[in-house]
Amino acid sequence: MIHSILLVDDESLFHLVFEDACSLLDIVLNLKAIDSADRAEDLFKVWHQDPNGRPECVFVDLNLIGSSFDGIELVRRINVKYGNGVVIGIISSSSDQTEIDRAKFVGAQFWIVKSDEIEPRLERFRANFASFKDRSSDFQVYI
Amino acid sequence: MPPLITFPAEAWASLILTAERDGVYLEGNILKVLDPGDSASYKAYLDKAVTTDKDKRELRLGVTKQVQDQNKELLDAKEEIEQSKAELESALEQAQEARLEAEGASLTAQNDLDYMQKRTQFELMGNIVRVALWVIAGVGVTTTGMYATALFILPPAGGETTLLGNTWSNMFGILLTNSFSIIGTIMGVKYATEGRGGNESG
Repeated sequence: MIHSILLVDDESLFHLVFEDACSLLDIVLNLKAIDSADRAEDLFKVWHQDPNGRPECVFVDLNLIGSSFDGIELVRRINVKYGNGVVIGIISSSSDQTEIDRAKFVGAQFWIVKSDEIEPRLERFRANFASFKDRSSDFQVYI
Repeated sequence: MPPLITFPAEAWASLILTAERDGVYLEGNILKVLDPGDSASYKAYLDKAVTTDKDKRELRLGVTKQVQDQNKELLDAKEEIEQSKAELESALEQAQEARLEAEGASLTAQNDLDYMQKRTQFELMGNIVRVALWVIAGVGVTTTGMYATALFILPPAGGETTLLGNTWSNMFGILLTNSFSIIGTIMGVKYATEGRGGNESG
């Protein structure tokens, strides 16, 4: 089981879907959900100084309405400015190959396509999580 | 696996009592780290709590997904309405442009027609004036010739020409008066027509 996940998504209904799906699948013990890339960056600034409380895994939505930058830029900043140290990837309803390539380029480890049937994708993600954590897995797309 | 926690026996007893009496169980991720130990009753409580929690979450997940779908449908409908609205606005704008163009064309046609009418009118007036002046000039020249013949080539007996001279003078005066009257009338009509046209266009 993943100890802690940070979900960054501007859609509050999806917070509930993700929380319930993760709980039913026994994927995570501690889930924190926030709706802004700016807030996520602030948290990582703190965790960069003191890693206590830093999540094990971060799911970032691609388009974050109300944020100063999009999810891929957040992934880039976490990887480049805040020392990485987490399994990080994108969760989005889009499956645009250009965006997927962009995400891979900035260091995202996975891309999960959001839909009504999110559970099977989360199960496949969970199966690969250990390899994401030890960086032995290639970039994965869960469609 | 996260480290498991245990509750003291009194806590378990209270939890089991609350569950039996009120049907209230622990919920959430605490259930994932709670160790029932070897006690069958603790284990039964924990299994029941986990099942209840999962049932609730499944129900909530289903409802949340339905709401999410409905939201998506509403957003799609809103987008379609906005698109239709934009198309209608565009069509209205085009119709207004077409109306303005039609009004412009109508005005141009009216101006052209007015110009043509005025031109025809002026040409007609010019012809009338020209013909009238030619007729007056012709009558003047002819009668002058006739009077000159009567006065100087075939003088009347007795040499009395005063009456003929006066008669010619009067007739010539009438001719001049008539010609200026015609010209004056025509010019008056012309300027009156131009003035009315100017007011209409203004």
